[in-house]
Amino acid sequence: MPPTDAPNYLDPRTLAAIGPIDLRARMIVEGMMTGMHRSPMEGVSVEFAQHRQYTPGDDTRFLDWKVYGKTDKLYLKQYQKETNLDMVVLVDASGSMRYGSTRGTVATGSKRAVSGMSWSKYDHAASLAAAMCHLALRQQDRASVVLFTDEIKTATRLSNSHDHWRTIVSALSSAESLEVSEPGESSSGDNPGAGRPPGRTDLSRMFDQAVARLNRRSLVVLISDLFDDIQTIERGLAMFKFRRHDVIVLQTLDPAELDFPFRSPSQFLGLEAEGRLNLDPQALRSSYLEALQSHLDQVEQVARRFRFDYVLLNTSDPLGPALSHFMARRDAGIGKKR
Amino acid sequence: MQALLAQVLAPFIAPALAWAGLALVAIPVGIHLLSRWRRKPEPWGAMRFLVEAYRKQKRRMHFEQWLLLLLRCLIVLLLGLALARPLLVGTLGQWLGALDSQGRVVNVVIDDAMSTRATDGPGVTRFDRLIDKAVAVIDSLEAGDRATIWRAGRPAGAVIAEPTADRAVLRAALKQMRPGYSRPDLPAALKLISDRMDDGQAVPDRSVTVLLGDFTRSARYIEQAFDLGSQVGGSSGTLIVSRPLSGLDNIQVLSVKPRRRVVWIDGLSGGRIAAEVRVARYSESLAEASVSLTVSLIDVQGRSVSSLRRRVYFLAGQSVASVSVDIPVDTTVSRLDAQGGEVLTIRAQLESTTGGLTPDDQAYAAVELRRRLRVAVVDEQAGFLVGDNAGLTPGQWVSLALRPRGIDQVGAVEVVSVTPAELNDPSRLESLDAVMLMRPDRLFNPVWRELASFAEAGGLVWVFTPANDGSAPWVSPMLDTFNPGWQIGLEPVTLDEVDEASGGSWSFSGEPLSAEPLERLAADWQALIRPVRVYRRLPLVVPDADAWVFLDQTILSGEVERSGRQAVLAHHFVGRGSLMLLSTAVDTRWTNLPTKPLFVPLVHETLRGVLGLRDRPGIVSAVAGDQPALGLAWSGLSALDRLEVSGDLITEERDDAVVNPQWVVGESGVQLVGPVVSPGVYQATTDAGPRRLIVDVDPQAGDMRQIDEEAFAHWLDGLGEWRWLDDEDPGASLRRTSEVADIGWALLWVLLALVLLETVVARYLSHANAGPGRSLTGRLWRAGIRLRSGDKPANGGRGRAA
Repeated sequence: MPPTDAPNYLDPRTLAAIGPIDLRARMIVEGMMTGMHRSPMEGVSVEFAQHRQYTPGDDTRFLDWKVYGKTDKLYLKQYQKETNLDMVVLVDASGSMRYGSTRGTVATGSKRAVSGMSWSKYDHAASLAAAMCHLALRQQDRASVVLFTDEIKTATRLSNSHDHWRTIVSALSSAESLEVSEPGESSSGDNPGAGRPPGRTDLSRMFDQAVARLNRRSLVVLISDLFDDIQTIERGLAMFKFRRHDVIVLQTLDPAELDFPFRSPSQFLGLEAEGRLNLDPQALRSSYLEALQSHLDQVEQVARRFRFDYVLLNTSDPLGPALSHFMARRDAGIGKKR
Repeated sequence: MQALLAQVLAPFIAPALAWAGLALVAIPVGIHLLSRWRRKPEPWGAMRFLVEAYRKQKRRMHFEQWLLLLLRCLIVLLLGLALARPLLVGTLGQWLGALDSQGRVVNVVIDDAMSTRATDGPGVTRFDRLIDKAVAVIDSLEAGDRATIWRAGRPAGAVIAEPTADRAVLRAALKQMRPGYSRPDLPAALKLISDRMDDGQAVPDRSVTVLLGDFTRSARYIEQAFDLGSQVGGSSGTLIVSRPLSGLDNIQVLSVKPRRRVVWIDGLSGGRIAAEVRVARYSESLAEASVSLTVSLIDVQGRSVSSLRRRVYFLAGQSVASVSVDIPVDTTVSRLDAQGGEVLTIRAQLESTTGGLTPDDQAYAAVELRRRLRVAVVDEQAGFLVGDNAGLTPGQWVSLALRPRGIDQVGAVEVVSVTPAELNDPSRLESLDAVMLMRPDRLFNPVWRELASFAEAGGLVWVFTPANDGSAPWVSPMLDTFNPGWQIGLEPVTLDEVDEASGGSWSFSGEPLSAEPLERLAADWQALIRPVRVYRRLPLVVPDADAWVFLDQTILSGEVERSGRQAVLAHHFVGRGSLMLLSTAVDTRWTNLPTKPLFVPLVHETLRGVLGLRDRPGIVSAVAGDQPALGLAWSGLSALDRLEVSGDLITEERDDAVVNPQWVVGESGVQLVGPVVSPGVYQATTDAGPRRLIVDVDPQAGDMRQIDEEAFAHWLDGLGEWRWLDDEDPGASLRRTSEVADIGWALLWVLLALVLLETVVARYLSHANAGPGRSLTGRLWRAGIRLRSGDKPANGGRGRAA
């Protein structure tokens, strides 16, 4: 049932009931726009920006002859084109991103959630990525989406054409057909974590491939649960920093992962083929939360060190704050470029 | 393993429940395994952090799981064991049994009879060993236990009757105990304990009776039927008995018995005291043997005034031997006045016996020495001539017999002539020893009663049949007064009437004399009675015990016929004195006895024998352990001390202090307080003069032969269920290690503690902040809530729950 209140479009529990990603993205953007006093779509066109004095070697095509006629001095005209934003959204489509506790069952590959009511971390990430791209394209920014697991699986080209939106949505939707192994298949419970099957998060290769693709300074949005070694994450972010890219790290986690509310002894199956583990969750809760918190702290610390934005997203929270953060960052990035 | 289980666990009261508990241990184990096998799968994204936490906590989690599993298995196992009510032995059982605050009443019975005086090692007696065992038993008392101490030596009694838990008091009482000189009286001790149980002062099933003794034959255990009401074993409690000790050979002086308690001596020739000493030997091999015996006379100062030594011979197979002695009495014994006498002590002592006990090597007796015997001859003052009697009346015949002419000045008998009329004055009977009634037909009834009182007080009333041809009316008042149970014909019978045709005669029977006072005549009896004839008599039928001399009827053909047990001389005890009757008259028409040599010794021996037959009121004999009644004759008792005996041949061997008896004076005279413990001679001072208490060792106490253990065990079976004491470790027999203890309740307490512990541990290990944890009780609580609410089990906070 469609929502009657526009801000509800940003609620994951609402979005989970909407199947197509493009529709979700539009609803998110509409939800964002509703209630704003001034449109954020300003200054994105080919127009004059400023003058500067001519120096030998400059391209004479950009000489402002009118100023020369009046003042007999040579000035160059600089235009808006230099201020266009290239946004690359890196979306983690690994097995761990298929975990969702908000509703329904886990979204595992073709075994879609029953009645489409689940809201996995990937759902959250894809919706967010689509919404961001939608906003960028509406402002004539070039946008691209990269889906990765242990490597880049799907990547769209950078474009600000109107049809590019369809390409992005298609890419995000195609993530569901990526090869993902069944939980706990590759190893026994006595040896969890053995082997590296397809679909497992491997940020190291992804970072290498992504940096190689980006030949211009870009705004990189990394949406992932970042379940990898902190050294790998640090090395990848360092490469982006070295190439002078701006990065927004959106670490997406399920509320169950953040709280670990289990009580009954269960058999935990790793979604990235880490094997299965029989245990009493209550006995391990504090130790688990301690390990998780340590990882989160380290990720944030690394991001802050490179002056990148870091936001921890709970998939049960609305997407508004994340998008607002994105918009603010985009404006700040454009400002810097000017 | 089975041997260990059998050692630790005694049979269960309900063994099936124990096995059920053991089998039910599989339940928590199965639940544990199933919970691992059937856990619901939970897909999980952040597996790397879970694996990391798991690796850190793996050992701790395993420990917690095993701990909980162990606790739950123990709970189920203990539940089964507790319901099965195991009877546990060993230290654990003792400790658990001590949780029972009621404790037991332990009755320690110690045999302190004379046999325990035997040495059982260098400087150690059997009694010392028994005390050591008793101390070990006391030391093994457990918390809540109380104990009493009893003596089994006769007379049995309590040393500490009220149960006490103060071990110091119990030990001190044991150390103060000394062995006695009596025989054991175990049935009496057990009866006292049983009576005490019946009084409700001890819970029967919690009472333990420990019998400590050497159990020799002296107790005559097996011969005694036991009072079934005195059971202290079996359902009445626990009975523990020390094993009988090995036997010892022993010789004991059973008794020394003077022929007469009163001996009259004259000032010139003195006299002799005849006594019989009986010696017993107790040995498995009764070979021919002899022992040396010394018999002594001891005066009031404890000096030996006369002694002689004899050997006592035992034939092969003979266990008891007797020896007769005539102890010469020194004529210098001069403190005898005309009336009073001196009491001398006769002591028979074995010399240098080897082995066995020494306290029973001696025995005592007392004899009274008298110089004068006052006899009243009651007859008509004026004699009358009858036939060829030359004018001698019966009284004169008797007087002549009592004081033969020519030795008046030295004779011991003083004859007083009294007429029947003078007997109406009772004072005439004072200070007399005997009254010879020649004319009973002249007495009135009050006089008969006075004579009866005289006999009751110890005098002799000798009735002679008067030589009357008519009936005898005096018979009835005599029989009515003395009531001897005799049958006397009132009309005299003559020989002619009985056997006129045969022409025979009546004579004194030559059958062996059974009367003890006449024993001295036994050797010459046949010769003395030969000339004696009886022509007339009163028919007299008496019980055999009263008949001293019978009549035989001799017919012309020379054959002798018994006269139908017709007695001619009869005797009957009256109080402390005697009544005698001669059924023929001292008259030549009736018999020629007065003219024959038999008459004088017969009168003398009968008179002295009868007067010496009964115990003297001033002499009381008893056995160690007795509590004799001293009687009215001891009134005015002011001192009662044991006579210390000394002398060349007599030595005292007493190993402990003599406790002089204490006494009280009641209506029945002087009564001792408590038994006389030590054998010996006790000299008393009373208002009426000196008195003597003779205390001998119990004649049965010296039999120290080994008892038949099997027969003894059979005898003990009559007391209920019992078991032997562990002689190596007496305390072990009392400790509950050797006693089955129901620890079902104790296990229930342990079970409750385990349930609480499981709850706390499970609660702690569950890491839960609120609500029931994962303990058994917590699960039961949750299950109860679900049953009441009808809810399905909650999904433990699973992530996908709405």
